[in-house]
Amino acid sequence: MNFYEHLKARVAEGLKRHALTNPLTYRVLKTLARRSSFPLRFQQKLTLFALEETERAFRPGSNPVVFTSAFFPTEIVRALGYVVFSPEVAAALASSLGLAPSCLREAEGAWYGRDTCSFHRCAAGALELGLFPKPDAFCASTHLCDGAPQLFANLARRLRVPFFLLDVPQEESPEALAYVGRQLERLYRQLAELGGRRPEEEALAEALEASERFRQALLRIESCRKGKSFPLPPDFFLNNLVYLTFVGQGSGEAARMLELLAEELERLPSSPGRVRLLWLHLKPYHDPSLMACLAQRGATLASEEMTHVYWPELDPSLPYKSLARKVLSHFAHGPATRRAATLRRLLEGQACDGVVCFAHWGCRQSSGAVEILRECFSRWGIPFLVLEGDCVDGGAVGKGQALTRLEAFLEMLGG
Amino acid sequence: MLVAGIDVGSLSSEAVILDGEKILSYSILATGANSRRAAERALEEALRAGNISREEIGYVVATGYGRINVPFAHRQVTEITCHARGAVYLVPDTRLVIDIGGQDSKVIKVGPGGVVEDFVMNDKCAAGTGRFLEVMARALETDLEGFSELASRARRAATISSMCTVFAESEVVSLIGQGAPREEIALGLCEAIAERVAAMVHRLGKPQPTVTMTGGVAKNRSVVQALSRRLGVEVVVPPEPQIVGALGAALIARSSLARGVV
Amino acid sequence: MTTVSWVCSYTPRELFRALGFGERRLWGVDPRGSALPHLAANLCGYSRACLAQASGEERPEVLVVAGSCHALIHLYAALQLEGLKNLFFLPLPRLGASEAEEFFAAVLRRLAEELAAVRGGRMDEERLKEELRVGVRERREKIRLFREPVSGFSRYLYLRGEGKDLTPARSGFPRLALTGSPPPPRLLQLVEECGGCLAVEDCCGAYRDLYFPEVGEAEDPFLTLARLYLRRPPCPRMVGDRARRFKYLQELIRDFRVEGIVYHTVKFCDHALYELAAVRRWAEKEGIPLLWVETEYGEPGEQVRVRLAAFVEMLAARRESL
Repeated sequence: MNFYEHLKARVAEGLKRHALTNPLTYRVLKTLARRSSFPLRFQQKLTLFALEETERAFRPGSNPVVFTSAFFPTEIVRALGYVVFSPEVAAALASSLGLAPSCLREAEGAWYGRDTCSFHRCAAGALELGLFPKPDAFCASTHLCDGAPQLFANLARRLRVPFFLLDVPQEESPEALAYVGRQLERLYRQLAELGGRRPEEEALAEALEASERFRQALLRIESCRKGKSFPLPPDFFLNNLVYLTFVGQGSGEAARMLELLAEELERLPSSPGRVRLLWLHLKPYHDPSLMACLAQRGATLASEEMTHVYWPELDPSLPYKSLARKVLSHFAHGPATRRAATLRRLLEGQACDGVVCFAHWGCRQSSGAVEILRECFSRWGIPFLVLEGDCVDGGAVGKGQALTRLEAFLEMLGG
Repeated sequence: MLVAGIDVGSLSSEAVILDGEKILSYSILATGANSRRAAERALEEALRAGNISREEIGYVVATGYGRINVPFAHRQVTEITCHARGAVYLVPDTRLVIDIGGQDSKVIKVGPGGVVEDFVMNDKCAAGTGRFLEVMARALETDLEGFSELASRARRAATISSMCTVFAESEVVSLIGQGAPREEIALGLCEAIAERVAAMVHRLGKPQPTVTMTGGVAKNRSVVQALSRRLGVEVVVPPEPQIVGALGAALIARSSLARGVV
Repeated sequence: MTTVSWVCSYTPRELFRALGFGERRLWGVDPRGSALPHLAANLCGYSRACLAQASGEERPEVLVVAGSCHALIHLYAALQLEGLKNLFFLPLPRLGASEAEEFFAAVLRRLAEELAAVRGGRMDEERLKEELRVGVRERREKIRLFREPVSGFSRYLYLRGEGKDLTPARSGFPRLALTGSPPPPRLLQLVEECGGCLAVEDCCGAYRDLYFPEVGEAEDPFLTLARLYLRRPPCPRMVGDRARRFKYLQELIRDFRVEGIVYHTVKFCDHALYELAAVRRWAEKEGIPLLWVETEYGEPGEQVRVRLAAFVEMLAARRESL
């Protein structure tokens, strides 16, 4: 049994709620992870990193714990040595461990309707149930979706902790660059005050250096994946890179891990003859059948929208401007026609055969754009499939339909 | 002078005739396509059952979806107010009323005297309503009574993961295809509906006893048990839970008559 | 006169007038029956109604789409694909900080230049200053209506420029506030049909002119304009300004003697759907009854009617027992 299966089995056996929030549990799990075998050394390091981060988040009296929304520039949090916690990643984990139904129920009781994003509902419920660490602040940015800032504002109010909003206007312009940069400067100062620190420029420059190394390593991984497919599960990169992308940017350790992954990939033999997909959004965490189908048919995710390098080089001597440029160049930023053009470049660059968009029900940003994307791809003659579903809430979707569609699509692509 | 309450729901219609606080007679019948006819028939049947003449009825309150289509009613009151009033009359300690209706389910927080303090209802889809059970009973080739009977015989429940009526129906069909016992599927569906309704209850906070369940689905013991377990509170079902709305309407008719409200 | 259409109450109308345009809010048309490409099934009825209008026979001459939410951002992309002429995008801050005001001022200045080019004219700053003063006068006039005992539904239509008659309010009925997503006008009518007195509505549809701030004239009229709109009581979209939003709701309840809140969401409207959770919690603490109703920005339907009627009955009974 691998480490993850082991963890899942423990939870299924009824690993007590309080154990999940006890730092000791994570220390024990770390020991277990050190002894378990992983196909790549990178995975072991990543597991240990994730457990260490979680342990820190639950350890009382440690550094401030900051909840960040997906693609919030965590560099300014990491620079202060604070703990970064992503409730959206935690919701995905809760779903894969079978804990989501109780969290979703709790959120519904707290008046989160079923048309809102289930990542957010699950996180709201988990927090109500006391499954999450105690946050010292919430940081959300508006460039990815409308839901996360709304949720974070609510939760911060509920828990009486500060809420920091990074307002990212939906355009790439000099005015927008200046606006986002000024906010980042203010936020760095405010976050420093929160933990009684000084907003050191040197520390921030270091975080940006780490982040740039992270980016360089991601580029190396991308170029590795361009030429070949690997004897790894189809969603290997989606599973491992999303977490690091959401919480690890600005951490030296995260950068080192990605460098290790790049080295290991460069040494791995290629596995031939696979259908190469560009995957949009995420996947159903409660149901492994889609990924099992891909594996069985020898198809793989050759590239993911969520983990690709979309931002230009960071300049540690101009931290705010660099980070502002980074969020403003985000793939989800601006009209969906821009997103389609970005994806087309990615598809061509990574030599993919077609695009699969997992349309997470509650997501206005990504799923709301499927018709626009469909039109753009059909104009360009690029095969495009929409799989309707829900990443976290297994009760919201019908079974089987998505699977049939995926199989038909793969057959069409000749897999 | 006597008063009557008429509840014209989407599936069934009921009439209750009161003399003071005493229930003289009542009727329950299927609404059918014509809700106006249903209201008349319900009243006629209740009159006949109690051997009462139409002239003796001094005041009529109509409730339920068809309440606007009751020409002889003096007043229309929503089923939320009526269920609260009727439930507290039958079970005086009631603090929370759960009514699973044909197309609407409601959870009502009540204060002393049956005053509504707060309420929530299901969203637009049929998940967690009587209609859901009706569709599922049909998928199991039985009626609501047969469905309830099936569920009561099950030792364990099949897992129904979807709340959506359409998806759940296809789940039921595929479970039958896989050879799952019909009893277990029925119980699974009772659990599913209880799950939906419990989620609504939680919107009004932790339920305080006594929780009273009204409406036709309350006759389904498996749903009641599943709800009790989920809420952590015993769910009380009054005798003849289906007439609670009409009873509440009749009680309001009595107070209206007493206060001279026309 | 060329008319500029807009879709979000944070769009400064003074700017259009100063450029010599007419202006109107785009309300959309019933999207049923029109083939609606581009917008996915999980986007709100308002964005669909606007797409139906802007791609149908009533195409706006000039349209400014604000980036208020993802549905409207997708609407903008959809209209790009439709090849709508004179289509502009207005990025909107969701924060009430000074950085936001300066950014918004810069964006408005740029928009003014782009719009001026449509007519081949130029922006006259003096004229903008004048329109700012006119706007203040008009708003004062409008909000006076909220002090008069008129039916909320007729007031709403009147403010939208659709109804000329103000009908008297029926006295003695429970006093309600309506907030949340842009409501279909039928919803306001239904509230009154169900026996509610619409004391005040705070929804995007009603221009949200109440409590407009007094803003001193800055040297740059665009900055004045930006401040005027961003310092207004926040709507659910202004997620960076939540504390002020609750203060504002509190003021509405006090000033208009509100007995119950009707919180309306258009299905799939994220800003309102998430804010609802916070407003509900707040209302419970304040002891103000709150009813949630949802529409698809069309006919509210029987289910909404029964909820409204029951809510009014509940508030009436509450009055009696107090």
